[in-house]
Amino acid sequence: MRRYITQRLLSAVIVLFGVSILVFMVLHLTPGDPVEIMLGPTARPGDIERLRAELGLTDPLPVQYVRWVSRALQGDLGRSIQLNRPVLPELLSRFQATLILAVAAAIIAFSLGLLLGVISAVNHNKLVDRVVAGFAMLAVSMPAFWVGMIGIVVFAVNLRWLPASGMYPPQGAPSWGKLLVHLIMPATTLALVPMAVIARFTRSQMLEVLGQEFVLTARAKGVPRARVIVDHAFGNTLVALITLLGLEAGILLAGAVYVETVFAWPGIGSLMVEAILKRDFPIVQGGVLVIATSYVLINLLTDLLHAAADPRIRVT
Amino acid sequence: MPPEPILRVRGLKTQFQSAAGVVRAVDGVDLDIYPGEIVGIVGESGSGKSALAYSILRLTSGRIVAGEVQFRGQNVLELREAEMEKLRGDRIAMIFQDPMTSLNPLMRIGTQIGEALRYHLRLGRRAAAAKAAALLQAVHLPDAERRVHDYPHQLSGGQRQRVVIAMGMSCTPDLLIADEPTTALDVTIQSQILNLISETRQRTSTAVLLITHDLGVVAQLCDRVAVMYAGQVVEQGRTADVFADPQHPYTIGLLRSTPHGRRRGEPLRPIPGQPPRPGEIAAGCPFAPRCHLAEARCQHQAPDLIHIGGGRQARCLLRTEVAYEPAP
Repeated sequence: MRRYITQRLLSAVIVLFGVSILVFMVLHLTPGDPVEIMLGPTARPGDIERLRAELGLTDPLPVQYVRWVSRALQGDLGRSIQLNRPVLPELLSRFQATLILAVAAAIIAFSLGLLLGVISAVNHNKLVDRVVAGFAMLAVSMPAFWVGMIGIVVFAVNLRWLPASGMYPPQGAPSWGKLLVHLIMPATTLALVPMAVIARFTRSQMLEVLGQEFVLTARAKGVPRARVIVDHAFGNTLVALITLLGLEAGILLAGAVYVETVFAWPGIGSLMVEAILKRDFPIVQGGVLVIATSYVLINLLTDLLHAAADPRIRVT
Repeated sequence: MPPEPILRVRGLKTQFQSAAGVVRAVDGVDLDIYPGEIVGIVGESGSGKSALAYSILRLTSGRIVAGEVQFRGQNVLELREAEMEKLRGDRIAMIFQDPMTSLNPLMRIGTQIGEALRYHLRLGRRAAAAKAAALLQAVHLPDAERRVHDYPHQLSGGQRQRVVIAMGMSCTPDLLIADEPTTALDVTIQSQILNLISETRQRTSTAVLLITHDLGVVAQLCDRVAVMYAGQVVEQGRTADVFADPQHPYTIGLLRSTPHGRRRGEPLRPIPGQPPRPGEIAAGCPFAPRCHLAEARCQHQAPDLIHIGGGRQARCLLRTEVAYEPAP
């Protein structure tokens, strides 16, 4: 087990190293000069050269990379060109909002997805199964931004049940209750597709497990059917699904970008969209790094969970 | 032989719905099992022997359309599911073919053995664990005390089948149904497991219904044997009698095609043709197309299972001349 963990940790570090190189390179390879954008069309060539030298953009790329990485390791991701503030605190406060949204969506998607999948499998080919299948198909085929906009029209504009945008109301002190009300629509919108995917996979995986001999053995022992499903079938289904759940968790983070834009959620996604349009590359670099790191952490967590849940992995 | 069978199956019919139509997997089976005896059911794949076993415990995915399964005087086909659950694993236990897949890979073997104890004997966690260790000792699993904490993948195939047997025997059932318990094992392990089943029967006087396609296993272990073909019992009787003097042409064919049944020096002779495909059994004797003795009437007249004396039965039109013994 210890060797497995060390192995996983090591490969996570290697992946992060690769990510840092890619993040650094991509921005230097994309067209458009940030210095020219910063100074505007009326800038004189001399000023552009001077600022470029000041920002260290005239040094060779490897030098720039080493400087960037060593600063990043100390928590200094540079200053935002647009906001003229340190990048890291800005990113972290925005990332927190994204995390709240993604975690809320994950809770909805995982719990409902697993539940619907199990119900479907247990009622194989019956009406419930078909209804869930139809619902899943519908959920997968509707783009999240469209669902979000329909939701705003119906629940915010017409029915006035839920706020249309933001994390808190514009006035008044923030509170958990207000946050929750603002979370409902974006989190549900974000959860829809992963929930449907999880429900479908849970159903097929559960059906496979239910067909295995150890399930029959449990029934032959006199274990009641409901307990067979809970004690024997669900655990084996979940172990097989851990990898998918990890992937879906990553997709929730990525998908948050669209949903944040639709609902004006102050997350890292909407921050990045603005930053890309304005060539604020310290923000973009830092943002990609934060998101990539959280991906790697989710993957690492998935592997460790898998090992903890499945004794066959633990031993090797 | 004691007069009262613990299991009495009469006219049992189990059918499956397939794309090709109705498959009559079990097609009117009569079978008696007396306390403490080992009864073998032999037949080719698809003969309905497993479907019969699953039907007795009502674990078949097919539909039981007719017949009775009397267990200690009670028709289990009329029980409610909750009552059936009380019977399963307690009075009638069943073990399966492949020890690699019949154990839950995520559950410690002690817990899996303890499950039946907790449900049927209402033992607590700790008492069940202690009993599980004792059961593992009884099936000669070395180091049983420690092994209860192992997961299935930490055991070899033979060890797992010992665990499976310990699990089946945990509540000392009256009847143990074993569905090809040695088929998935190495030959050397096979005989160990067979010895274990025989030893267990002697210790607990549990009756065993042994499903197999291996006549050697039947010869080694079974007091009586029933031969199945196309969902029907075509011959049954004491193992020694059936092997010495088979009455049904199919049994004769089976014995001639295996080293165990053949007379010394005689070559192995396979039965020509294939068993009827499920769903395409026509009128007449199902074995007629492959039978070297078949006459014209065999093609359209279905034979009944007739008693031919000495507790033996055969389902063949050519045996009607034998002295008739009325059914008890």
